[in-house]
Amino acid sequence: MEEDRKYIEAVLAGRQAAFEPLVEKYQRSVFFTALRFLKNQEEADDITQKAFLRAYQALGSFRFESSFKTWLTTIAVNLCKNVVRGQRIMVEVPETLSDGSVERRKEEEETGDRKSQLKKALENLPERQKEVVMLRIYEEMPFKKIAEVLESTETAVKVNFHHAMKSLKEWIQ
Amino acid sequence: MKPEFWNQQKQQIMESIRDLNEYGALIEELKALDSGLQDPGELFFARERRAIMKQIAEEPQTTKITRSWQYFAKPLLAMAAVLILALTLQFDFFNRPGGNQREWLATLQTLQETGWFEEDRDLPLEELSDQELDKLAYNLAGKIDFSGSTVDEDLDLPDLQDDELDVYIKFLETKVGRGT
Repeated sequence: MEEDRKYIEAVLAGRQAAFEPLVEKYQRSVFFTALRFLKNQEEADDITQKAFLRAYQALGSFRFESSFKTWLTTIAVNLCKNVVRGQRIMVEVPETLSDGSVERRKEEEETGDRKSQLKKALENLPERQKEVVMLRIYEEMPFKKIAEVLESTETAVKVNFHHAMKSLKEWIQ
Repeated sequence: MKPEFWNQQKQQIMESIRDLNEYGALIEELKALDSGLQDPGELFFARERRAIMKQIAEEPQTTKITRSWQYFAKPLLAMAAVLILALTLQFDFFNRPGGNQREWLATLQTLQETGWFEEDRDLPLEELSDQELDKLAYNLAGKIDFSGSTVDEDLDLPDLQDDELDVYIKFLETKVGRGT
């Protein structure tokens, strides 16, 4: 944290190159967070670049009230959410045009192994619950930090986590 | 204490342990899913880093934004708004004809028993006036965020029945609370 502050202050003082160690330090974390959300390496790469650029542009407004990592993750998660929202609008088709994928999915669910069932269950969670599960389990973030990243309350995050775990458990049983 | 009491308690403990084990196993399975993510390797990250630094080099110098009057005024304005809202609600509560305050009693007692509002653990709820009961319920609703105004839209807390609320609170206390 102190090290991050040193780099940030150097960047703000005019040393643009001091941003590179911050990129190096958090690049993988941002990339894998984006990859978990978007399931696409190219898009995750794009979001990682955008997140660092936005962070750089807004660095002057960073107040050290949270850690740089939390702030950066918030930017990345918001960018991912925009992409996911866009994708959802694009792929929404009326039910009458269904090509049998629902039936196929049902079949797959019945025959698929537990791992793929769990994957599907995770995919089918409401967006907010999925976000909480990803940040909690894969990023190992405390609930308080998740609340900061998702701009929510700690209680709401805990309740979402509880609902998600309950749904996942029911789904795979 | 009767042996039935101890048996019941033992069963509850065993159920909680089973629940926790199941959650633990589920979390492990979820973690295992993550191992399927492909690491694109150091070359990929080096290229990405170069791309980021190149874009940054094209950006104008970022500087510290000086705090305007708004930075200090905004929290004060927010506090004033909250105060006005609280006063309005307070008056609304006292002016409203008596009604469902007693319906809250069972829920409040459950909350008290589960230690949700520790500072009022010994409060004799039955002896409270309707207004006091209503006020307490209102404060508590704000405290645990099931008023619906501050929680996420996909939560269904306002629709919970008393027994569901009880289960939820117990869950928060025994499991999630420890996860922080």
